[in-house]
This record gives sequence, structure tokens and C-alpha cells, in this order.
Amino acid sequence: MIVLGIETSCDETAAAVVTGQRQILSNEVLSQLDEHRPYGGVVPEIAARAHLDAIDHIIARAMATANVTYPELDAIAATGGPGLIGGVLVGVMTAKAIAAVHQKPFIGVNHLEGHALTVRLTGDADNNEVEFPYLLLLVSGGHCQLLIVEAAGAYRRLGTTIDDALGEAFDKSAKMLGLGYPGGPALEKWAMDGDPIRFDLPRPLKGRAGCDFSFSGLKTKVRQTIENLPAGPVTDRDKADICAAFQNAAGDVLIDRCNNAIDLFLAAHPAGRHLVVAGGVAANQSIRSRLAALCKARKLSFAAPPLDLCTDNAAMIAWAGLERLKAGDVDDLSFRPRPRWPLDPDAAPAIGGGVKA
Amino acid sequence: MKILALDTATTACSVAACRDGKTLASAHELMVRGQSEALIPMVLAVLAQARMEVRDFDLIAVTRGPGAFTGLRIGLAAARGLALASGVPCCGISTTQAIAEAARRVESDRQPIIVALDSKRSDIYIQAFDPHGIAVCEPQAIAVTDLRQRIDGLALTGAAGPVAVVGDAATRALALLPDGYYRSSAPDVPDARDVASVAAQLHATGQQLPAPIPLYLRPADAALPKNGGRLRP
Repeated sequence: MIVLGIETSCDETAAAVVTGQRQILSNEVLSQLDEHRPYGGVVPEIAARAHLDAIDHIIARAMATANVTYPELDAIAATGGPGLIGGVLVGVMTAKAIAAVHQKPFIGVNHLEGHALTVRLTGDADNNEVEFPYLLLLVSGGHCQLLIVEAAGAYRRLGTTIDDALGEAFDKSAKMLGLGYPGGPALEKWAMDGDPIRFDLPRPLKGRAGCDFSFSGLKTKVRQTIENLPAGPVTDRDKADICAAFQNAAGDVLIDRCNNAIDLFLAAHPAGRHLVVAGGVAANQSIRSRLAALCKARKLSFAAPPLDLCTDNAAMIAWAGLERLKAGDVDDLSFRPRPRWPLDPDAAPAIGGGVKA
Repeated sequence: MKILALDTATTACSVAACRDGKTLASAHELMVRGQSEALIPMVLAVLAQARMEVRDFDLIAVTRGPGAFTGLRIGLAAARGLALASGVPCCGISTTQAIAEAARRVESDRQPIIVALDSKRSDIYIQAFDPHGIAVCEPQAIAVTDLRQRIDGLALTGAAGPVAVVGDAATRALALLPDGYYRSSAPDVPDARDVASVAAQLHATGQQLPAPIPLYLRPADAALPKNGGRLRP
């Protein structure tokens, strides 16, 4: 089976061709970093325009690199939400049009499911297939949740952020320090040389029952810390120390929440073996190594996609499409894109979480 | 010349399959939203009725604006996707020209025509055409305070008689204009049949067809943060 995947839900225009044998035949990603950099964040209308400008060229390149023709495809999958609706529409309409011309199934993929199932494509550290069920920490600029992945399409949410996503807190803290765009990776770089204990930052919800997250208080304290520095320019030392303190605090919260989630996961699935991390923040090396250490302590196997498949990409959308296609779960061409689309529809929306919950 | 035409630029959704000036099959529905759901099934229904496939066409034509940004992207992404997957060339037709094409049929006296479209802002999208249907200006966004002066500057009224105004902002525009302009009874929204007709006429002139790229007429709304969002120097 061969599926073309298309991703346009945030600031990457991406297309990829993936096979049912876990082969990525092509994986094209065009980032819009330059378009959004002056604004210090993703501007929805600029993103939507850039997606339309690029999408057909990116798809043509993915098909050419994969050396696959449209009739050889078994389905066309596109991110159908959640995300910035202007961009999602561009990808969905292009995918539907291709599906219509070649009478192929169209699959509107949940972007979060793309992240959630990526390890099934890439395998664990030893390249073994990751079997259901597994515990998933999904942590990106738009989302921060802990879920049990029971099967493709079957998710049980254990906890979610009640305010900001962690990636958002990374980006905004970096922005307040003027570290450049995108902020998350810049903050990680600065944190490497920093002293994590010079500044005292809070660990919201740490030690409390449950698996929910909260990061707005941490973000506010970063702001106050910067404002309370002695007069004059912020020194490189200050920047590095604030970054290290932030990353350390965020990591403490993640570990605490994951620990609770592991208890719940193992209670529900005593034979469960994997903790999986996915989403853009999963590219952070400090957080990755702390999660790997937690897994070792809890005798679980740690699985994380390679860095380029943690951030937004279309290979994960093609793969999620493949899993849906195998299950016979395809969409009609009247599919309606969904700006909000929780993985676990039974979970109550978290107060304050907005679309992130 | 076989043309497959689409429109989702304003408050309608339409598809037409045309050959040599004749409509083989077409569909048109008024809708404020929902074009992303309706468009491709409508394309398939029109193709089935015309007993054709996308690759049977010589050209795909789509409205490229002005119009609602989301609507423009729905139509353009679909048209470009159809073109990419079929190898059929694709062109973009201005929304105002497609609306003027229908108005020319209604205004049998062959009046000059102004198409006025709602921008959802304080300005109005305008394009004007002479009695032969030739555009006398590019589609543009005009502030209501400048509208009268700008239209006067086009010198449309005169020997040809009163000027017909059409489009979903026609009533708004007429309230700002002096005598010599009247509301056309032609439809205020585009129809894909007219998109195909304009494309066929452009093709017949031998000139290069306009690319299927959006005509937004306004930059993206975005405010630059002070100091790039940095709190301190």
C-alpha cells in the first residue's frame, strides 16, 4: 500500500509518500519560518497564503522524489484538523481534488493522530515495531496531553493542559528574552550554558494528583523574572540562566505528570511496554533524555520519533492515513475540516484549555 | 475547447463543464459557507452529467479574486489540485470579470458595467468595463470616501447612457454615486458558466491566460510586535 500525505495545519507546507512496509519514499517539508519571523509567531493569514503558493509544487516534488505516479497511490491523506483552518483547507481541497481525478480514497487525518502514530512508522530505539497499547506524551506548540493509545482511532486521554501548551510557553519565553524565532529551539540552545538554579521558577501542578498540565504561571514568572533584573541590558548570563531554569522547571513538571500517567497506564494495561513522546517539543534533547531516564526507572521502553519526524511533517499524515486505510476507515469527499478535533472525543473539554484540550 | 470551471469566491459555489461556448453540465448553489464540503462532490456530479473526466478537458478555469480569502483559497486549491493530478492546464479569472460577463447579457443596451463586491471591510472591490466588456481598470479595493471621485475619473457616463452597477456591494456603491448609475438586475454572485466563457474569450485572443494565483487586493492582517516581543533591551 502507498499513501500520499499532505500537511498544512500550521507553518510547514509538507507532502510525503509512505508505504505500508514502513518505508518513507519521500518527505518534503517547506518551512514558513522567514514569513513569520518578523511577527515572532505564526500569523494565520500569512500561513494560509504561503500554503496555497507552495502546496502543488511540494506535492509534485514529493511524487517525483518517491518515483510514484498518482494511479499507483492507494489513498490520499491530508491533515483535516485540528489547526489553523485557512491552511488546513488548502491541503484538504488539494487532496480531495487529486482523489477525485484518480478515483482514490480520501482520508482526512487528525493531525494529533499523525503525531501519535509516528512511532509505529519509525519503530523504537532498536527499530522494533511499537505495539498497541502505549502511553503517549504529545507535546507541541499547540498541544500538551497524556493519552493511552489503544489502537489507531482509540485514544483515552489521561490529562491535558488547562491553559498553555508547553511549546507555546517555550516560544513565548524565548520571545520575551529576544532569542530569535523559532523560540523553542533557541531557548534549548541557550539553556545548555545556563545555571538552572540561579532563578527560582514554579513547577505548576507538580506533586498534585492527576495528569493535567498548566504552564501559564511558569510563563508569567519568566516575565516577572526578566522585568525584575537589574536595570540595563539583559546579559547573556541572565539569558542562559533563565533558559536553563525554565527548561528544568518544565522538565520537572513533565516527569511528575508522566509518572502519574504511567501508574494509570500500567493499571489499565499491566503488559503495556512503551512510553512514547511526540510533537515538536519532543525534539528537545534535555526533555528526551529525562523521559528516557524515567522510562528506565519505571522499566518501560522509551520511544521517540527521529527529530525531523517530531516536528510537523507529512510522512506522519501519510502513515496515519495508511493505518486508517487498513482499517477501512476513509472519508467522503464532502469531509468538513475541523479546527478543533480532540483525539479522545469522550474526554470533557478542560476548562481554560480552549482548542488545546 | 473544453473548459471545466469552478467558483467559490463569494457567497456561491458553482461548477460548469463547457465545450465551444456550450454548457454541457453545470451546477450553482448559493451558500455563505460550506464550499469546502460542497465543491468536489459538485465537480463529480457535473462531470458525471457531462459524461467526462477531468483529463478530457483542455483547460481548468477558476475565479482568482477579488472575494473572500477563504473562498478564493478553496477554489484555487481545488483547481490547482485537479490540474496537478490530471495534467490539464489551469488559469485564474477575475471574479469581477465573470460577474460582468453575466451582466452584459442582461443589460441588452450594452451599458458600461461596474462590478462592486463586498470586502467585509469599509472599502469596496471595484472593476469597471466599457460597453464592449473590455475592462477599463484593474480590480481594486476603493475606500468609500474615494469611491465617487475614482469612478468619476473613469468617465464611464456620457454618450453610452447610464452605467449598470452589479455585485453584492452594488447597493452600497450606488448610495455613494450620483445620477447616471443604476442597479443591474443581473446576478450579484459569479457563475462558473461565465468563468468558462471569459476563459474561452481570453484563450481566443491568443494572449497568455492569467495564472491561478489569488487576487487578494489586501495584505495579510498582522501587526508587528514592538521590539519583536522582547521585554528588555
